[in-house]
Order: sequence, then structure tokens, then C-alpha cells
Amino acid sequence: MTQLIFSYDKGDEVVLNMGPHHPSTHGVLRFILYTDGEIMRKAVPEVGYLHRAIEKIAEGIPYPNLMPYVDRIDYVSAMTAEHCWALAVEKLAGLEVPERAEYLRIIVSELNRISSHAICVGVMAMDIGAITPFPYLLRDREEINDLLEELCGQRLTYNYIRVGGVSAGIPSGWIGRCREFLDRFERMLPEFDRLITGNEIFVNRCANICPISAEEAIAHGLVGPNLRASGVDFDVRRDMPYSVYPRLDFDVAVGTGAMGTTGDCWDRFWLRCEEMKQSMRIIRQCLDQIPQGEHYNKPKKIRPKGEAWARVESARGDMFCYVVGAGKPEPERVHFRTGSFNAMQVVEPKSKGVMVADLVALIASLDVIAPEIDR
Amino acid sequence: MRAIRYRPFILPIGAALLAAIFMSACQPKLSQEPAILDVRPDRLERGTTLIIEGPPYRAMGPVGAALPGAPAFRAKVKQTVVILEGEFVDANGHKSVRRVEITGTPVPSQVNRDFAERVLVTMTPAIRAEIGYATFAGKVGVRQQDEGERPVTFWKGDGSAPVRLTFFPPTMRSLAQLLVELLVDDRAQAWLGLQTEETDRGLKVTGLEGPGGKRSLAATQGLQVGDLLVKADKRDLHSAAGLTISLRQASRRAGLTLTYQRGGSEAKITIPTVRKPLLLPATLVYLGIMLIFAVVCLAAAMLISGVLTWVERRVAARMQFRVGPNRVGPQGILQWLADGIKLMLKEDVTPDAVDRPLFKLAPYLVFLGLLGTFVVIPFGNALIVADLNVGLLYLLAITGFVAIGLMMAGWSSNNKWSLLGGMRSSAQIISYEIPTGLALMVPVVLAGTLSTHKLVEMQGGWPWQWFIFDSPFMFVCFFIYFISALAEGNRTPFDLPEAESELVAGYNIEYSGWRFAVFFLSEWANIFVIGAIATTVFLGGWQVPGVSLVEHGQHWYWQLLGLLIFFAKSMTLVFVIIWIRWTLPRFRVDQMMDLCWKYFVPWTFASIIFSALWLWLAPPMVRLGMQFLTFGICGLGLVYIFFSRVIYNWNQNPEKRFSWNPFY
Repeated sequence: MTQLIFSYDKGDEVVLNMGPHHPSTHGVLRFILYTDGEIMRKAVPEVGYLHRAIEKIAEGIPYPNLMPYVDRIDYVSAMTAEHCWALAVEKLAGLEVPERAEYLRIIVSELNRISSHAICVGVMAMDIGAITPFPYLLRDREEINDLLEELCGQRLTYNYIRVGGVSAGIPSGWIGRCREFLDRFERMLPEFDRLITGNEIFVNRCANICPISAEEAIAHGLVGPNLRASGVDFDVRRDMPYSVYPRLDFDVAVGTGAMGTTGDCWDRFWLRCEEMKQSMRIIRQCLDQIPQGEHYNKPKKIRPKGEAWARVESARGDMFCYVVGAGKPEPERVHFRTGSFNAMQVVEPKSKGVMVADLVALIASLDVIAPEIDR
Repeated sequence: MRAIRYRPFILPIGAALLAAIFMSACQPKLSQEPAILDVRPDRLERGTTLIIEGPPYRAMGPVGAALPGAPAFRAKVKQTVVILEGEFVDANGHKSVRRVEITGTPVPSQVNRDFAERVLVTMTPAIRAEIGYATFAGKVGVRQQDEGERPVTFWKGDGSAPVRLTFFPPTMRSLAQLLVELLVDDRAQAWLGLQTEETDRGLKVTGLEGPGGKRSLAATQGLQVGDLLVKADKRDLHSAAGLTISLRQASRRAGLTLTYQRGGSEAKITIPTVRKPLLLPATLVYLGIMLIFAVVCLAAAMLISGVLTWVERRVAARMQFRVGPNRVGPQGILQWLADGIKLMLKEDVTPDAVDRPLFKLAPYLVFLGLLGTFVVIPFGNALIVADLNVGLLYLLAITGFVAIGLMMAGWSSNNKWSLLGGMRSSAQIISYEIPTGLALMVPVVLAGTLSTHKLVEMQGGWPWQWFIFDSPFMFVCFFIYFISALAEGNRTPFDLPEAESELVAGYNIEYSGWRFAVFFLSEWANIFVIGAIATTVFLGGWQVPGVSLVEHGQHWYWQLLGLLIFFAKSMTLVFVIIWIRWTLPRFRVDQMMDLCWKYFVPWTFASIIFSALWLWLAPPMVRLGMQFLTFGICGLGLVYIFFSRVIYNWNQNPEKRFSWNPFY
């Protein structure tokens, strides 16, 4: 008989290798699970499988030309990453951006936030075992992709926001189509809530699972929706405003523990559903307020000196970009601080004593994107 | 590099052989079983209705309690006569007032051998000729004739509130049984050119026609219509099967000696057997027939599960704004064939580190477990492979192969995710077998039979005659059965053993090619089996509304309609299963176990106890009332909930687009 390779030298502990190719690790994440049957003793995340050295590459590339690379940092919500880089460079070089471009940047960022949250929420439902919510949201994400494609010709990595503005203006009828989409999507969200958010099995699977308290969230450096789900009322768009966000009226959703404990998986899920609604509000206001005029104030030559930083509220939370210029066309040093990397820290302490299925819910609810972890 | 090994047809042949062996071991007595008229005079009450013969009787009155002053048959009872005095109404509506005496055998009590509780009357053709399939209303008496004692007669019922007895035709013989009779039992008759009828004393000759219009051999030897064959060589003749056995054993030189009675006198003839045909042993022929049925079952299972994969994919696509497979064949209905052929042609990889024999055997066992259930599914009145008297127990037992197969697959794959899947599946299937089995036992308590065919016969065509609406307990039990069956079949929301997002693919992670296809065929065969069993036990099976069993057995078009109705009901349930799969998330392991042990098991136990009490205590009229009440509240309630949701969703839909065409 063949020798079986299970090793039981640590009592009943089994070491399971989850990833880097596993259906619920969303890209190339790897976790080493130490389990006792279904019960998890420890799950250790191992990062680095998608490390592309974008920060190092940036040191050899002129400022505006880095934009397509920045897209790849967070390919699910590329617009916000672009926005972050553009803001940092504009601050460093002291560039002015036309007002129309500011509005356009926010419209595309919020559209992208909706599509990113749609992916997160749909994938989380799929990881819990419900497959249908995912195609529901994917259909609407396709419409967003169509809208963005009309703007910039790309569907995933846009290269739309440029240093000094945006690459293209609005095609005719685009605003009307955008409004139509918002009207459709607004009807879609309650339908989605009936399908999955309030589903008994789904609530049982997510409520009270791996709750992260406000203190823990701050201690682990969680940002964005994950932080707000833990009950911390902080949003860069409101509290450290950039672009034209101060002129817009929107609410910041905060986790309340409506189905269980504050900061559990269900709160993180629900919070993203709420943020999609707020994003729609923001887009509507922008579409009303958007002025006529130039959309791109193309800079002649960028050779800045000094350092600058920018913070934006990306779909995965507070995205921070630090850039140092040394009077050359290329930056001296670039650093991106991203939400997913910090979110990975919370997996190990939170995975103790939960079940394998709960770990999947936890990973999905943190909404980590592999290239954003490793960059 | 290893050569690709390509042996995809071993499985169908192997499975068919195994199934054939299994079925032949399970088939009840070959020859036609005499129907039993079971009269229990001490249990009869005023106004009692008993349905006797054919389907086991379903007593509408209280069961169990002996009435004060009930007659008892004491000691050494040789013969008991059941007397029916009153009005007979036959199937054509003719009435006649008669007194009929039927000879029966007293059955000793289980407790006291000297104490006869009931009288068994064998429903012979003679009695059938006298009574027919009639309804009787009048007095029932039992005359006991002891040795050396005067006959004593006990009476039950009087003219004012008559005892009612209904004589049903015997259970219809299935095609399988007919084939067995034709090819196994009647071979000697066919060669001799005899047509006979079974009686108490022997075989009565009813016709003398040779095969293919030739002159009958029996007639040449001097047999006449009306003769009563009592012996063949030294064997007492009771059935055509006996004649066949005698002919097979008779030597070619000596011939076959038949003893017959004609006009009161007994005579013998010897039939030369020099040119007798080669009669194979009955078991061998029988095994051959069963092999054919096994192949038919296999083909049906493959076809059903294959088409269901397409149905599932199209339904899922429609639920998710997709189109689904629509390229192979009209609307893609042959997609499963393309997929199956593709999987057949793929290499069947056996990884090096696996436990080879177990790894290879596992899919066979899973498939066998599901194929085996097709044996007792009554597709129609005559369409059942084997009407086992332990039908439901057989079902529960044979599906145990699935648990073993999945566990085997999980363990032998030598993959930790597979092992987790296998452990989950065995824990899940074994746990959920309890509520499944118990929920099925409630209809069994009601019907008094485990035979799937008889369970259908006990129900009626109209929804309020189905077992699901018999009482609220049955209604609960139906849902417990349905949900537990989902869990036993590893379907969403209980698809933990193959939970894609947790265990990658669970127990079948290392399988490829044809073996992988077999796991999937089993999964879809299983959802049909779930629907079919629920239909059989709870939803009236193949019964056609408004068509009595007698009529149903007489015309082929009712049979066909019954088959269609059976499939319509099963497929509705299959659709619900698919619908659930594409709507609900998955349970966690502990929640799944909680649901089973904390809720379903206690509920089913309570249901069994309450329905037993209900059967025992509730008078017939109250039970009938409850039947209509349950149908009214639960059945129409379900319909109301369904349509209110449909209307709500319709109003939510701004476009108000609708098409009857499912493929629009």
C-alpha cells in the first residue's frame, strides 16, 4: 500500500497549504494553515508572490510615464491609484489642474469604487457559497467598464488620469448614459440586498465572525472600509479632503454591528454596499456641477525638487503616496502605502480558533488585492 | 512518459454487472404472488371501510385496539370460513344481494400460538370469479370449524350500518415481472401449447394453442380445455413455473408424465420429450433479463443526469443574465454528450502517491449507489424494475455506497483538501441519513408498507389525496426529507464536501477524465433521485387524477400519462433544487450539523410519534377533514406565497418583459 504523506508529528495538527493558487485567495496569496480538523489553530499569510518592484521601477521612469504602472498597483480600482499618484506629483511640481478635470477625476474614481466594491461584495458572496450575486454585480460592473471605456478606451487599467488633468474629455451623451446607469443601479441594490445581504444563511455565516474592534483595527493599521466597519468614523474624502470633495455632500457609513458584533464580516460586507450608494450620490452631484472648460493642463517639463505626499480614499481605503524629487525627470524615491498590505496582518491573530470556512469569509471581507499587497 | 490508458467502457459494463447481480439478489418471489384477502373480524367496526387486496389495505379506522367481545379463534382451528352477506356492487355498477363463503386460513397470534387473530383468505381465481372487483356492503361473519366441534359463527355489522369491503384488482405486474414470466416461467407452457390458470388444486387448462398458430403438442397428446393438471412427474403443480422446472428436469428418454383431473376422475399422459427445447436454469435466464434491465437503468440514469446537467446550466444561466450552453444540438441540449465524450477521451490520470485500488474503485461505488436506487423507483404503474417489499429500506441502504465511495475518494487521493472533503461528506451523509430515513418512515407508518410501488397505489391522483397533505406532520416531514436529501446529496446549501471556495474541489480534486465525469453524472443522477423519491412517497407518484387504479392498469395511454405526470412532478422538484443551488449561500460545517441534530432529528421523531397517535386516535372523518384542512392551508398557502412573490417581483421589474418561451 502506498505510504500516505500526512504528518501528525504535532499532535492532531495538520499543515495545509492554501494558495498561491486557491479559488478563494483572489490572485496569488498564500496562507499556511495549521488546523486541527476543521478548526484553525493559526493561518499565516505569506506575501510576495506578486511583487513587481513598481516602486523601484518608478525611480527610472519620468513622472507622467509611471501612470500605467500605478494602474497595476490596484487593478480593481485603478482610477483611485492614478488619482493618488497624480495628486502627489502635482503637489511636488506645484501644478494646477483644471476644474473640469477635478470633477472628471472624482466621477471616474467613484465609478471605479462602485465597480471595485461590486467585485468585493460579489466575490465575498461567492466565497460564502452563493454564486448568483456575483454575476448580478458583474453585469453592472460591465456597464461601468463600458462607460470608462468610452472615456479612455480601456476597461481595466485605464491610464486616464494624467499629471495635470485627465487624458480625454467627455464624449457626447456620456453624462446621460452615466445617469441612466445610476438609475438602473439604484434599483439593483435593494434587489441585491434581498438576494444576499439579508439572507439568513449568509448572515449566520458572516455575523460575529472574526470581529475586529476599533482599537485592534487602528493598532493593525486597517484603513478604509475595513476600518470604518470596525466603528471608526474616518474617511479621507471627508476628514482630509482633496480635489473637490469639500463641495460634495455625502455620508460616511460606519459599521454598527447590526447583525452581530461591530467589525464582523457582515459589517464589512454591508459597509461596502452602503458606500456604493454614497458613491452614486457623489457621482450625481458631480454630473450636476461639472463645469465647461479644459480637461488637461499638460505640463511642459517636470523636474521638481523636494518631497510631497498625497492621500486618497481608494476603494481599499487610505492610499498614501510619498514621492521625493531630485530635480531630475525621474523621481528619486516613490513609496505607496496601501490598505491591503496592512489588512493581511490581521489575518493571523484573527484566524485562531475559527473554522476553515470562516477564514475564507475573513479574507474575502478584508477585500485584499494581491498586487496591492506586494506592489 | 507513461502511455495514455484508455478504457472508458469498463465502468458502464462493470456497473451494469454489479447492478444486475444486486437486483437479482433482491427480486422477490418470481412467480405471481397470490393476493391476500386479509379479514380481521375482531377489528371490524360499524361503518368501517377496509380496502382489501391489491394494495395493502389502508384501514381508515383505529388500528390496534381489540374491541370488547371480539371473537377469538381458539385452539387447533383447521379451517375458517369468511361469510359475506349483503350487497355487492361490481365495477360496472351492477348490484346483487348474495351470500358468499370464502375458505380461509387462520393465522395464529404472535403472542399465543393457540389464539388466531386474523383469517387469511387467498384470493384465488375462483373467488375472483365469484366476487369480481366489487364493493361489498353488509355483514361479515366468520365461521370457525374446529375438529370435532360444532361450527360457530361470529358476525360483525348489520344491515343498517354495513361493513364495507372493497375488492381491488391485484397489483399490476410490472414489465419486468411480465418478462420474467414469459421467458422464465411460461417456457414449458409455450412449448406444450398450453394456456393455464392457477387454482387452489392445480393448473386449469384454459386454452390449447400452439406457438405461432401450429398445432398444440398438448392437444395432440389428448389434453382438453377444462382439464386440471395436478402433477408433473412427481411434482405437485401450482404454477407455470413448476411445470417449467419439471420439464427441464425430465429426461429425454422417459418423457414428462402429467397427471390431470377430468370430470372427477384422474388420468395420466406421458409427453415425449426427445425434442424438448434447451431450458436453461431459471436463475441464469433471470440473470440475463436483469442484465438487460440493468443496462436500461444505466442508460436511463446516464440520459437523465446528462440532460439535467444541461438543464441546470441553462437555468443557472437564466438566473444570472447569461445564455448558457446553446451550441451543441437544438438549444444546446446535446452539450452533455459533447462534454461526456470529451471527458472520455481525456487521460485518466492516477497520481503516483494515491492509494491505487481505492482511488480507482471510489467513483464506481458512488455511481453504483445511485444507479441502485433506480431499481425501486416506480416510473409508472408497470414501469418498475423490482417492486421490493423492503423498497424504502433498500433505498436508504444502497445510498450508503455513496458515503463509502466519497470517503474512499477523499482518503485515497492522498491530498489534504480531498481528505477534508471526504471527512465532511461522510460526516454529513451519515448524519443526514437519520432525518431522511425517519422522515420517510412517517408515510410508511401511514401506509403500512415499505414497497415504493404500493406507496404510490395508496395515494390518489388529486393533490389532497397525496401523502404530503395527509396531516401537518406529513407536510413537515416532506420538507425535512427534501432538505435532508439535499444534504445527503451534497447539494447547495450543503455542498460542503466539494465547497469550491474552501476545499478547491473537495473529494474529487485529484480525479480527471472519465472517473471525474462519473462523479458528476452521479451528482445529477442524485438530484433526479431526490425528486423521484419525494414524488413517489409524498406527491402521489404516477397517479393520474380522476383515474382509478383499475382503469389505470387497463389502458396504455393512462400508463403513458402516468409516466409523464411522474416526470413532471420529479422535474419540478429538480427545478426547485437547481433554484436553491443558484440562490442560497453555503452552510458552515457546525451549522449544518446543528440543523441536523438539533432540529431535524427531534422534529422527525416528534412527527413519527404524533402521526402514530393521530392514526390511532383520530376517527376516519376527522382524518379526512384534516386532510382537506392541510391541503387548504399548507398547499394553497405554498401556492399563495409563490404567486405573491412572483407578483412582487413583477411589480419591481420596470420593463415588464415576459415570455412563455424559456429560450427567448
